Amino acid sequence: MAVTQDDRALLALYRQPDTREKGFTAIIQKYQERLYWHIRRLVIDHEDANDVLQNVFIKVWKNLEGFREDAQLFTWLYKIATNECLTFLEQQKRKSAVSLSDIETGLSNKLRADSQFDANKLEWKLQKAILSLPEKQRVVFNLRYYDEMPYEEMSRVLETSEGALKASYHHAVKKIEEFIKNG
Amino acid sequence: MTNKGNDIVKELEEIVPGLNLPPTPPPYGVPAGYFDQLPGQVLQRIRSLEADPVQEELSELSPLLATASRQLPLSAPEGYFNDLSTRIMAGISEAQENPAPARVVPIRSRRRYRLWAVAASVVALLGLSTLFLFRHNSSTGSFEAQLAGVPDQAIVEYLQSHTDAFDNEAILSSVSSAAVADELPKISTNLNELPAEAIQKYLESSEWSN
Repeated sequence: MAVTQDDRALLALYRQPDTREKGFTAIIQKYQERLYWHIRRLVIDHEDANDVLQNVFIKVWKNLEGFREDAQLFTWLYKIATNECLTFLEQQKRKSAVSLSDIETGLSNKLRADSQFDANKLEWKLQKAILSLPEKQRVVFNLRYYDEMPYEEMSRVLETSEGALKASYHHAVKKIEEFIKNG
Repeated sequence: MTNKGNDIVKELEEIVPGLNLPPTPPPYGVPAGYFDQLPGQVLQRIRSLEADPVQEELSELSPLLATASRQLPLSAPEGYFNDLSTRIMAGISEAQENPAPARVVPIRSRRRYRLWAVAASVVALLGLSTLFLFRHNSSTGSFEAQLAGVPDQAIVEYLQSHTDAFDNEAILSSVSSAAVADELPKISTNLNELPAEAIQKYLESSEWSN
């Protein structure tokens, strides 16, 4: 799927040296909230999400020149953001030299630290259940459940077959339901 | 409107003389603002008729999750997005003005470089030989011996709880197609074409229900 008319106009602004920053600012403003929430759901903490989001846009700035317009800008941005999140989580693991379950506990603790946290409410139980999933499955679940992303588009973001993504999502939903019922 | 009504009455009298219908509009009324609200009501009905594939899929998979709110309980600090683009652009400008210093590579004589290259090759050769001998004689055997001691059921349980479709794809891609053909019956089904119900039934089977 090619880039949308709206994005094409923004990219044209970006490619002109005198309107480059204006064009890029418009791209940030258009996608900042969607990308922030995608990142926030994966790293949980706001400060971490802010760091990752800024890194994402710096990477986009460095590589946008080479972006080919035969793909959707939105899909390309999601791909960079997802990779940046997974790299961040990997670094967290290496830094603290802890096991996977400890990382999950760390994210759960960040969730509990939220001022609105209420362990009895379903929406918070759901967040805890999502954190119990393996990272890639968590990405798939979030993209489908919160972003309502079609499998076809998700397949381009994650470079995985639609069938595998569908199976991964179905499996994730079952695990989450089980977690909530038993928790 | 009145003339139009009169014309119709005249026409009717010509067709059915003596009918004497009153030249007033019919006594029907519509609620106040009906036509103002009509477009919105129609659009609402159209939206409700249009299927939401994510919600439909979720209702089939988990009625519990389908009824839960999809609103994220987390929040961003107030006004965070207002000046985010300015902060990001400032960060980009700063990075461009103060790029990371380039690493200085000392220039060495070609002769010295060659000596180091030869020395490194000898060390690497010795290291690889030692590693090969060590792995051949002890590590492989030790690892295989340890693995043989792990019950099959424990391995199956570990794989069921720690792998997902991504890993399955990676495993399959690492095995040659000839080897798969020898070991497994031919699978011609394309996963992309599988309906949601079929996947659901598969996941509900005993193998995946644990």
